This record gives sequence, structure tokens and C-alpha cells, in this order.
Amino acid sequence: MSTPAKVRPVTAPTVFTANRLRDGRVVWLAAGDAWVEEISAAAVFAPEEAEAGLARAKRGEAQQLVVGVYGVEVSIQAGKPVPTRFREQLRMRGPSVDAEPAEYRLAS
Amino acid sequence: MNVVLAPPPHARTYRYDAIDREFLDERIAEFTAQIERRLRGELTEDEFKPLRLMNGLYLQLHAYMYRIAIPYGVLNATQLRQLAMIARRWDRGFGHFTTRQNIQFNWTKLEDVPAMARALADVDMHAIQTSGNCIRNTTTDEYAGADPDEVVDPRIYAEIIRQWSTLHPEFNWLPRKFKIAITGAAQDRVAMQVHDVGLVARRDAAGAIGFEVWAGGGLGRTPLLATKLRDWVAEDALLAYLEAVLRVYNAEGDRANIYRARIKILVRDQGEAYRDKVEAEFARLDKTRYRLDPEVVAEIAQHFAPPPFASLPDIALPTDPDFAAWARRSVRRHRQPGYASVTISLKPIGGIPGDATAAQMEAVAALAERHSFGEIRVTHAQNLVLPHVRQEDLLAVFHGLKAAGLATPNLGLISDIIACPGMDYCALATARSIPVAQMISERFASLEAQYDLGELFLNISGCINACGHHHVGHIGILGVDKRGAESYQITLGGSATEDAAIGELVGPGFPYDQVTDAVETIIRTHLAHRAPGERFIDTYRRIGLAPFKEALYGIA
Amino acid sequence: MALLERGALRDDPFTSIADDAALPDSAALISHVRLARDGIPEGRNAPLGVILPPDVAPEAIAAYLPRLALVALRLPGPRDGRAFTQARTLREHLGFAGEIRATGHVLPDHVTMLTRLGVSTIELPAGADPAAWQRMPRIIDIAYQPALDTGRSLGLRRHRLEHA
Repeated sequence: MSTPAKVRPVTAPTVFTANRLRDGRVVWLAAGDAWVEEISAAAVFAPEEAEAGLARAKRGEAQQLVVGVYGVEVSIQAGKPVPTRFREQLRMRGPSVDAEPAEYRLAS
Repeated sequence: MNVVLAPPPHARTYRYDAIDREFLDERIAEFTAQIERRLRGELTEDEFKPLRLMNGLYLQLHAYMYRIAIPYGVLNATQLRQLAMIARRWDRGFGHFTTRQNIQFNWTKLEDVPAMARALADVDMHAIQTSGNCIRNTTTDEYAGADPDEVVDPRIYAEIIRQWSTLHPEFNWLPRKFKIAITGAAQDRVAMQVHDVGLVARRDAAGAIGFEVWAGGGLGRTPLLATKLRDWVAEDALLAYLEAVLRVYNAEGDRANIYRARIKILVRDQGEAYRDKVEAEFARLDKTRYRLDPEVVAEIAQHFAPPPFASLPDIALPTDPDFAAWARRSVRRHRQPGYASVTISLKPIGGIPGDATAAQMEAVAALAERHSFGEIRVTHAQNLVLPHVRQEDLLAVFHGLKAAGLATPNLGLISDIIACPGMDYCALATARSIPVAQMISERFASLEAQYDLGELFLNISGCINACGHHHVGHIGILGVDKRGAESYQITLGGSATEDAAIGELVGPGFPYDQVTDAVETIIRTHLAHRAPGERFIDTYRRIGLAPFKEALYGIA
Repeated sequence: MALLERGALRDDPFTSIADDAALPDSAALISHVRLARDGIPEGRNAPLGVILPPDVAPEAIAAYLPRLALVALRLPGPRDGRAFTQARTLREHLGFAGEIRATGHVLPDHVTMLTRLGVSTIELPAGADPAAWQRMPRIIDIAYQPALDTGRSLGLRRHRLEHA
């Protein structure tokens, strides 16, 4: 499961992430309760709004759109939310290693 | 029913019959129905999760991960080609071979799984029970049927255990996962002592087959070596005894605390009492109902009869230096004169340990078809084997492997690293493991230096779950999270063979950008102290931890 | 609550009786604590059932089994497999011939396996759609190992499961 074990009080701006149910891809909660693949479009919640944000994100689970919703603390850099934890930076960027063969990269 | 693709005629994989195929079709139909119920919202994720895990589907950091069973590490060229096709069609063109002889695809989509399962079924493969709290893939010796010193062919019993454990009604909801390993040779190439159950197939003085049974080994947060339960269980009582072992575990294993739920904790905490309970259960089991009939053994053994070896003499191998360097590490004696086993390194210098591209899978499949009766093995060290190659074909095989980037002559050396996918892929990980493997591999790229260093097993895990088997590496590296940064703890002196041992922690962890230097310091220390002919593990056993601690931390 | 038995729904004749309440003259389901404390009343004709929690070995009630009509087992969660071993022990080692009922967090996906181990009835979870449970096809009907069921042999150690 993607949910980290610890739940601490939120002290930083927060975005919400999940895996899309159908294809497992990483998505972020955006305005209008849409789920998007780019974190730059994610809705950023102030710490005091985090609980409300989680409730909104959980609706995505209830609607069978996403699974494994959790909050990610971010800092805003050049207007874009960037996760503060390294693990979530990997989640945002994808693996730090190049596993795909050249034939795949060329075709995609 | 779909047309099943024909396997190579002499490849010794268990040949499905109509019943096996019917079962697989039913299983796919069931899982497909479960996926549809999930997508419609009739199953919650909580209810669906154990069902999808039992069908090999994980949810990871970036996507679903599909773990496909390669029963006891044996597959044929048709199957390997199909895996290549699946990698191309539904994934990103590559797959990852694991420490349990399975293969994983990292970018699976839930909605594609029914089609992928169908494609697997077309070659008699599946992803059943590669996850979940059930009996997992039973692993065995990659040289089974080829090793000159083999006493009993373990594949026969691995297949028997596979069938017995398939959708076993009582043991699908265990406290935790259950891993069995079986060996049939004196040399332990399966890390038997760190499995939930380890079996050593033996013969008694009259030549009858029986098993040493060990239980309660495991890695992870609490690494423990297995306890021997029995010196001898007769062949026809094997399954009854396993039922007894599993039954006591199912009834009494800890279900409240996930870190205490493996059988190793039960065996350690109950000690003799656990063995007594197993024996009591075994004693009262209906021996007729649970008997493993010799006729069944004979029928399954037929699937693993030797392929039609040609009568050939042993020959001198070519002296070409490139070939010779490769052969020294990759070519192994065979029980049949004129033949050899070839081990294929999936650890190119600076590469991702255990990964193979679709093109590489196809290259290996073609070589297997041409030169190894269509048969391939997967090792728990994340490499591949062509078990039965004519010595006169070795040069051609070498060239074929080289053309596919699969001829790195580093097997058993420091750059033959076992590494889990780590935090780049795995949702459980606390640190990355692949780039650490790559850095170490590149630091020790010099083959000359590696040969001089000799046998060294370096294993890396990206979290305490120890899927990289770091506890039993000569050098083990464990990646943890230290205040938000990756930190790597090093253990020394582990061993996964018949002289099994859990490594000792050498001291505080090293940051990501210092761990490679730390490994180099350890190697230099070994070289400074080693006596002639000593492997790393020999030097360590002689001089202990202190010189390494001092070199790394400046303290004795 | 509705019971599922061999693919069909039926009513439950048993009433759960608290440890300190009087035993009625109808089918009663009591705790194993009460059973150990009071035993089975002499001359009782109405069926008696006992709830066996997942962490209590069936041997604890072995002496009472010949006079019990029902043993109710429980799945505290969809991954807790202890009831599976309990059912088997009751049938195979202790020779219990009465009703074995699975309660708690049972899923339709458990039914075949539970039945193979000697479970007779499933108590449908609260809020379950009975029609969905009845509709749930028994998709898998090949077994790779013996259990308490018997069926036509399919070679090796396999057999065809008998459908309900």
C-alpha cells in the first residue's frame, strides 16, 4: 500500500495524492475534485484546511476513482508545489533510474 | 478456450494437462469477475486487496506491480518469449527477476490484468499466490537435473508442493506469507535456512527418498535461522507433515502484530512446544487421505526426466581470452559428459540488478531453444541459467549472450549484486537500492580487481523487509530513513549457503553519497588482512568485525 | 440474520442467549464460557449451539460435541483464516457431525473453501445483498488437494468439487 504508516499533525501546505484505480497511476487532487497527473495542477491546502482536504480526497475513493489517498506536505517553489519528503519527490518525478530500454523510450 | 502456445518439445517444465488448463481458466474468470466487482464498487479496496494480492497484483509507488510465478524458477523458451511480449505490450519493455525466482512488471494497469492473465495462461503461466498471506512460490536449485552432485531432483517435489499448495482451502488466510525452499544437493543454493520451511531431499541407506524438515527461518525485522524439526520424513508423508506444520501456524501464529506474524516468531517463542504440536497433529492426521502416493511421484517425475542428451565426450574449451574469462565465471560442470550449465549475469556493470529487456528475454529464449533444449532457470540471485548446453556450443552461446549484453563475467563477484527494487518502485521502501547497486558496481568495474577479490556476495535491501536478502550477504546493505534522508547500514559476515549466518551490523549508517566509499574501505580492509586463498567471508570469519569498524569509524 | 446453505437462503432458528439469561426451550446459541461453566442441561431437547471464538481450540469443547447441534465460528476480518482450521479440526479430528457455521467478515470468495473444510452454513454479514450471494457462481470446481470433500478424481491428487 502507498500510505505511510505514521500520521502526524499537518504543519505545512498539503496536497493529496492517490493511485488511480483503473491504471494505478499517481494522481493529485485538483480543483473541482478532479484527479490529475501533474502536481503543478494540484490543489494546495493550508495546514488548517488539511482535514477538509482529506475529506474531499476520500470522496475519490468512495467514487471508485482512486485508492490509497494520503496527504503530502509541500513547499511552494516557483509557484509549484514540491513535496518536502524525498519519497514523495520520487512519487512525483518517477523512478530515479532508467530501466526502460531505448526501444521503449523511442516509441513512447 | 484459447490456443495454447506449444512449448519446446524437450524442455522439462511441468506440462499442463486439460485439467490444469481448466483450473487456470476458472481462476482467471474468478479474478476477472473480482476486478469487475471492484471497478463497479461492489467490493471495497479492503475486501479486494487480499483477493488481488492472491492473484499477484500489488499497488506500488507509481503503479500496480504484477508478480508472475515462475514455479521453482523453471521456464521454457515459449514462456520467456511470452513474457517479452507482455513486457512490450502492457508494460515498458522490461521485467525484473526476483530473489524468489519470479518476474515482476512495474507499470501494470488494473484494467489490463485480465488480458495479461489470458496471455500468461496461453503459455501455462499465472500470477497466483505470488503475494498475500498464503503459500508462495516454492524455490529450488537452479542447477536441478544438471548438478553432478545432486542426490535427489528437487523439482519433482517442488512441483508436488506447488500443486498441493494451489488454492489450499485451509492455508489461504495465514497470519502472514509462507515461503518454502527445497534443495536436493549437499550444497545449499536456495538459502534454505532463511525460509519459513526448508526441505533437504535425501536418500537413506537403502536409497529411499525422504526429507530433512526445517522451519522458522526468515529475514526482515527479526532475522532468524531455521530450526530443524525432523531429520527424516519419508516421501509418502511429506505432504501430511507440511499440513501439520502449516496447521499449527495457522491456528497459533500472531495475527495482531504484523511484525510477529511469521512462523519464525512462533517457532522461536514456543521452541520445543511448537515441534511437539506439529508431531501431535502429524500423528493424528489421516495418513491415507494425506498420503503422497508413489504413483503420483512417479507421474510427476516423468515431467522432469532427463532430456535426450547426446553421447558426447568432455572437450577442452576454446582459449580465446574473452571467452575464457567469461567461461571461468559462467560455465559449470554438468552431470552429463560433454555438457555444461551456463549462468547468465543480469548484472551488467552499472546496470539494474535482475532486470532484462524484452529483447534480452527473446535473445535468451532463442539461445535456450537452440542450445539448451528450450529450458531456462531463474536463480534467487536474480540471474538466469541455461542448464544443459553442449560444451561444443559454448562459444556460440557466449557470442549470442555478448551480442545481447548478457555476457558480463562477474557471477559470484562483487558486482553480481542482489538488490530489491527499493524506493524507486516499492511503496514499502525506506531508501533507494538500485542506484546504490549501480554506484558500487561502477566503483568496482575493473574485472581484474574483481577477479582478484574473488567470491563476494553483496546484497542490498531498500527496507527492513529484506527482499534483497541483505542479512545473508557477505556484505549486506540496508537502506533506512534517517530524519528524511536515505541512510545505509552495513552488515558483514552473512551467508546464505549451508553455513548460513546472519550478518553483523558494523556501525552507524552512511548517507547515500558515502556508502560506496564505505564499501571500498571495507574491501581495502579485507585486502590488507587476507591470507592467501581467502575469500572475503573467510577473512571476516578469521579477523572479525573490529578491523572493519576501525577502518570505517576510527574506533575498534 | 439470513443463512446461506448449499447456495440457498434460509432462516436461522437459533437465538443468541447472553451468559446470564435463562436458556429457552428453543434453539439457543451460547458462549463457550457459559458452556464450560454450566455444561449442557440434563434433559434438554431443543438444539444447543456454541460460539467458538477464533482463538479457542476446538478441543476445548470436544466433550460436548456429541450433544451440540451447532458450532458457530467467526472471521474477525476477511483475512483471518483461523476458522478454516477450526472447522477442519472439528470434522476431521473430533468427528463433529452437526452444523458448522461461519460468521463475521465472510466474503462470497470464501464460501467454496469453507465448504471444502466442513462448514455447513454461512451467516450473511449485516447489510449483505442476499441475491448477490446466491448469484455468486461457484467458478472454481477443481481442487488440487484432498480436504473434507470428496469428488471425482482428476488424476494426480486433483478432484472435481461437487457443486452445492
